[in-house]
Amino acid sequence: MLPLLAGTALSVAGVACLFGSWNGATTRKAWINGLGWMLLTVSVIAWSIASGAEFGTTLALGVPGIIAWIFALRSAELREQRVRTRKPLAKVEPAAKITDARSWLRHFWFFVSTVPLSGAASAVVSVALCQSLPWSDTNEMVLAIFLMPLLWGCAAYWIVADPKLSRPTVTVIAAGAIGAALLFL
Amino acid sequence: MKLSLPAGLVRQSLAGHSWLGVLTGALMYLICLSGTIAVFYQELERWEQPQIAESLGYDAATLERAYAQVPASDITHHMFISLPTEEIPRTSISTEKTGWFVNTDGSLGQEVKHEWTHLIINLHLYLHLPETFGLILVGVLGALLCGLIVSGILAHPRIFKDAFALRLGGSRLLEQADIHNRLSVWSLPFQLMIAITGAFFGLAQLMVLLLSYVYTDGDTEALMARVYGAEPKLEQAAQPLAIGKALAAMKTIAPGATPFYITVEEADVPEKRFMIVGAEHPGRLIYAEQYRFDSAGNYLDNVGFSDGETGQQAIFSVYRLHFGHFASFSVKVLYGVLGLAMTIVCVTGFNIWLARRKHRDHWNNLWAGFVWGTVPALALSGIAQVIFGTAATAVLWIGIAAATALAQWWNDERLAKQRFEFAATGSIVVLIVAYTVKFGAAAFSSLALTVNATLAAIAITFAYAATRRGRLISASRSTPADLSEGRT
Repeated sequence: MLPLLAGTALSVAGVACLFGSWNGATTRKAWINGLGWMLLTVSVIAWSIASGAEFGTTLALGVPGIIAWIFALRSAELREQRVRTRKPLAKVEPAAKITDARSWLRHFWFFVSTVPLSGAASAVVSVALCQSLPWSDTNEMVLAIFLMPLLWGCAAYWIVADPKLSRPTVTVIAAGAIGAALLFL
Repeated sequence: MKLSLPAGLVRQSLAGHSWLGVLTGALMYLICLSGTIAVFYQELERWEQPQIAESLGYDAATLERAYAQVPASDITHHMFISLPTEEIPRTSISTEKTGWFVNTDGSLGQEVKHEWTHLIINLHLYLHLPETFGLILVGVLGALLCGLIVSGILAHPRIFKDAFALRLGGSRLLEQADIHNRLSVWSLPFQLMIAITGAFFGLAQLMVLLLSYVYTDGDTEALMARVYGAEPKLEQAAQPLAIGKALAAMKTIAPGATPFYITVEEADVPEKRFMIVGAEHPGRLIYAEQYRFDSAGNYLDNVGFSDGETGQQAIFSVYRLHFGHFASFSVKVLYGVLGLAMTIVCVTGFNIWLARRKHRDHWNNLWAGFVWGTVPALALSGIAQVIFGTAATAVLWIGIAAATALAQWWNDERLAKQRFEFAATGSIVVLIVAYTVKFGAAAFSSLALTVNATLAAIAITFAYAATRRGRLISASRSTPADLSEGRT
């Protein structure tokens, strides 16, 4: 029971320090900020003593979020409710972009690049990367399965965020090709 | 503290975040909402059949008698025996098609019927699409959620400075952005974990194809055997299953572990049949360690999820980590809150995109109908399934389709939200009342009461929100348009 209370108290204290530091409630911001992160790190140990390393780490990562929301709600700024009367309610605007063929083509290419292309490339790249590790086959395979969605997400982000669509697309295709060559040749 | 990110990167990240969010928003909303409810699937299963007697105790001889009573024509390749646990204190025997609760005298009791819970779980797992396609689609959404998380961080240069800023009631855009950012930033580790483990469920089967080419010359069975253990090769005389002997042996093989299920593999081939006793290990995230016994109850081996390679242990921890089924009920509540936050993040993200456009069109109406109409549609599906025993998948989807169509017809998302909030209140109240009438005294068991009280609290929250929104709508009607400013 004591480690559980200690874990909770450390999480609350850690978030409180971050709140004080980031919310400008204290003049010693850097010091308080460091203390906050340190308390949150130490809370992992207390949570782990209370519930075991696996449960404890999971809880130590999840609980501070709930505590932070309570802090945020407590300090929420309630502004005067401004009310809109929507004059054009009766009239729905036509969706102009839908008829824009170029725009549709761009969105379609985004979709192809972010979903099948990035998916295929991240699959072969993650397996190729993990295969090069000095681990057992089972550990390599499992890491590849967990790494793949992360790589996919990063590739998808780069494709939709880069103003030059060709740059990430070519890189993703090249990475996939190199990964496939390493695996199959 | 401020992240020093170039303005261009922030702008591009925001654009990318919006694109990915709009692409996935609607499906992600359904997955997050159903996932939040599915965290409590064990409680919902018990709620669906409150009249079943509950007990934590069981007798192995009774189980053997009950298993022997399953008609031979009903035996399938895999058979499942669920042992009572704190979460579900009921004993049942199931085939791949149906199941029965086990009475204390060893006879087969009522049929297991958790169809509404399965409707919600299946919505979460594969969106009621054809199973394989749906699983892959949901897995892809998990991967894209990783992209949303990365782009969300890079689109937010004031991530630390604004970590506690919550400005409610002002401009709609600012309010929605604050709610979206606060909820997502503080649940970031949870969201990342959900994204990766969620993607695993859907994409593992595709990855197995690739991995088998690399590691086992295209032999997927050999690959699965490396991770999940090879099936024992048995040649034994046909004989009744010695369930009692296997369970008794567990006390010496794994004294600290608690058996909670038995799977009979090759159940329809007596010479090759064997049992897997799944046992929970305290303090571990692994779903179970699997102890294998032959038909006569002789111990063969354990697969190694508790003490094998790290990869094996990690892969068998995905389920509990994803659904929050570990430690205690309070962890489920924590997952419920974090899951609800993810659902709100989906909705507010799309709302931000709508508000940024500075004009309104059919997307405003359809989104309001879809989001707010899903709740009464779910409650209606509960009435259809739990009260009337009707297959309710169609009820759910027709309900959602009708809600979006109605919202478009009303052409006022504030009005649509308010009406669907009232509809949610009404349908949940009808569900509770009909449930109480149908199940009588059983509806007052502690579990049923707790679930119904939770449903009542949700109904009251929706009624309050609808009433409050009604006041805002009335105020807006009496406010001259030129003096007012954008908010719904």
